[in-house]
Amino acid sequence: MTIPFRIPIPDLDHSLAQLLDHKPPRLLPSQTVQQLCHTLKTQLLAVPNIIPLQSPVTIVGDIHGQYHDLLEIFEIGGSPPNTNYLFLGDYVDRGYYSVETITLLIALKLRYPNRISLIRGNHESRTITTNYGFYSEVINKYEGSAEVWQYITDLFDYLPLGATIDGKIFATHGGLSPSCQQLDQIRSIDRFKEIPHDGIMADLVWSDPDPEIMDFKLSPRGAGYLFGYEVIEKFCHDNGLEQLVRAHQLCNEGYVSYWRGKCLTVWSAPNYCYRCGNKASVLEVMDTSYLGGKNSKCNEQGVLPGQFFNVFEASPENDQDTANGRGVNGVLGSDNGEDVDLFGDFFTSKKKKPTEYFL
Amino acid sequence: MPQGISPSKKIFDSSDLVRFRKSIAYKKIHWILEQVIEKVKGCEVPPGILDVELITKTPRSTPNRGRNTEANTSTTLPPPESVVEDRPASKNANFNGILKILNHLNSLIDETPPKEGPRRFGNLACRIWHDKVNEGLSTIVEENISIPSASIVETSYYLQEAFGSSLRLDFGTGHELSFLAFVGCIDGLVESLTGPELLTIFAKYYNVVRRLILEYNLEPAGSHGVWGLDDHFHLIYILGAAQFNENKNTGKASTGLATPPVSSVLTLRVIDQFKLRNLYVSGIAFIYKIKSGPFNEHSPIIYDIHTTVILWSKVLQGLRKMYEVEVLGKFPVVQHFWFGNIMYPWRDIDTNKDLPVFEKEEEETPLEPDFLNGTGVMTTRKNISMTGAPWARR
Repeated sequence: MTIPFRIPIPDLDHSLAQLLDHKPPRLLPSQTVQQLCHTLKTQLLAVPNIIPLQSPVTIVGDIHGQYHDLLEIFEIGGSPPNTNYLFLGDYVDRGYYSVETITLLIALKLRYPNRISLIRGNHESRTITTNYGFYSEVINKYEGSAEVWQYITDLFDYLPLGATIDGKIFATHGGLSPSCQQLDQIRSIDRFKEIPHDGIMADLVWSDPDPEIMDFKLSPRGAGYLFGYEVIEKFCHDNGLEQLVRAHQLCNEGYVSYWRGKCLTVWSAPNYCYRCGNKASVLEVMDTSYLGGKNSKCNEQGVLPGQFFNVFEASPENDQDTANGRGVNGVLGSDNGEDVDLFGDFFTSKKKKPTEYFL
Repeated sequence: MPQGISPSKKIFDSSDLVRFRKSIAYKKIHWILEQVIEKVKGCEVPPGILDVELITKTPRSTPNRGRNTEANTSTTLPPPESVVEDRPASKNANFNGILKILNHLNSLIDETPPKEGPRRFGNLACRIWHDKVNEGLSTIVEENISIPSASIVETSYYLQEAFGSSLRLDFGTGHELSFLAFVGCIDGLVESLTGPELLTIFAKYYNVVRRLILEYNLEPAGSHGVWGLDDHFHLIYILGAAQFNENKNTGKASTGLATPPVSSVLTLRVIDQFKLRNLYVSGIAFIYKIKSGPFNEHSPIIYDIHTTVILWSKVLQGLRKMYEVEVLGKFPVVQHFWFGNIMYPWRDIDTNKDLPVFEKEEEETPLEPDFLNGTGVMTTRKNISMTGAPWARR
């Protein structure tokens, strides 16, 4: 089969409509996913490990399959292509809609290549997705076939590892690495592979800041490092940077600022796993021209001038109480019947395949 | 009679599962499970046992439960449970003893309020609770349960392990398994109890665990996200499904209300009717309490059961098969199941010889929870957990 290097725009729009115009979103057929992934791979081959971006741009943290919250982000932050987006990884695992989330992002990236940037998180990996849900989800949604998981995890190998914004902000999924003093060291990595267990590439997606230390320390995660104040000061200084923006850690308020804005965590999955009750945010970087100046003080959000954490809570649909309300998929049926069947006729149009244990 | 020794780790990597399956311990777990299932068939949890507060959704509290600790404490938990005396005492001393122990553990939760401050996933006060429990546990077991003194060490061990990990501040199916093992440590207990009495023991146990989960914000120990059966439990669904199965001895189904059709169990009406009578339904009610969002999204596997399976016997059978694979057959779960020399020995079922142990540098579970500290601070502490690297060694 010959797969074209470009997908015609009407075809992309059709895929986007499948996902965006239906509740619940429609799954794209396996062949479509294959084609989308293949095309994006060929395009990503030309993209450097660190994408040079310009402000304004809105930075998005972990999504973890929370599709409806992703749509909420496009509501509050503006929908593509009207807003530039940089996604910091962790699109899949944990949530119910990992497939829909990642396929939507892939289709948007292909449709608006200059408006959407996707980098790699620690969950964009074969090992992690087999352990944390994405693999099981694909098996469940594609009638026992893992093909789609294969296409998508192969694509993950092509995702860049970071981005710079106006050369002043460095954005990556996790954080810094003791093996890396210069951005150029990241630029020279051969990134087209599964995330290794250690080394710069692993550390970028696994590390966390730690306000209580100065130097590097082994991470309790078993991969990556904890990095302290001196590390980030030196890294920024040596690379002409003002700030590190990263994701990777759940925060109750949706964001955390460390060291007076030197490092920011942005977390974009509200009410994580349907139960954490946390807020989420996206970081809007309007302008970086003030950075580095004398007045470059952080405000009460702990961000630098020209930046704003747009905080949001679980999308009304996702937050809806199953027991009382109507769910996002109309699953909850009518609320007037005496014997309310909360789960209505969801999926009745589809042929149900019982979980194999219960055959 | 051999002297009991403190159980030790024998399962070091997934290849050890083969030996686990050949062990006396493995056979014994199945034997106990089988016994309990048969006993509880057609029975209901007696009234007043399951704590209704723990499985009833409170009006949706604001999603941000972290900041306002004042309002926080008031919404959470029921008053301390009344003491065991007001329950009709059984003639079985061990039954009464177990309830007394569980009540004691429950009252220790009252004495150990969660620490204030920004909410972290896994409240550190839980560790204090574990310390208090572990301090005198074997004495309490000895005082309240009559078992040969040689088996006290092991019996206390499995009980101790049944309430989650003090280190990781999580709770999962492995801990639930440990409670089953504890029940199996007491010779003749299951045989001598009635179905409702057995259900009382398990229900009281689930009361304690649910309080721990809610009060200290314990994390799910497994982590397939929404693609697991439940964040914390599996056995409870097996026992509850057994309750909805016909009891061969009494020849009738449920002693009280008519058994609800499988397809109706996710409706509010059935949940309200059965959540205090049936462990399965109480499990569903607990999911409703802790989660928000469409049920078919946050619990797709359970949702599937109720849209595709018709007979309770099939539900029971399916859950048991699934338990075999997803709990007893999963290295990340059973690596934490340790083996003594009396109750659950690491010995070959056929030859009664010790099974080999291939000790190695510990391979850490890939199924680490990842609700990393709510505030993003304190990452140096061992107290937090998060997405761990599957290849991590520690």
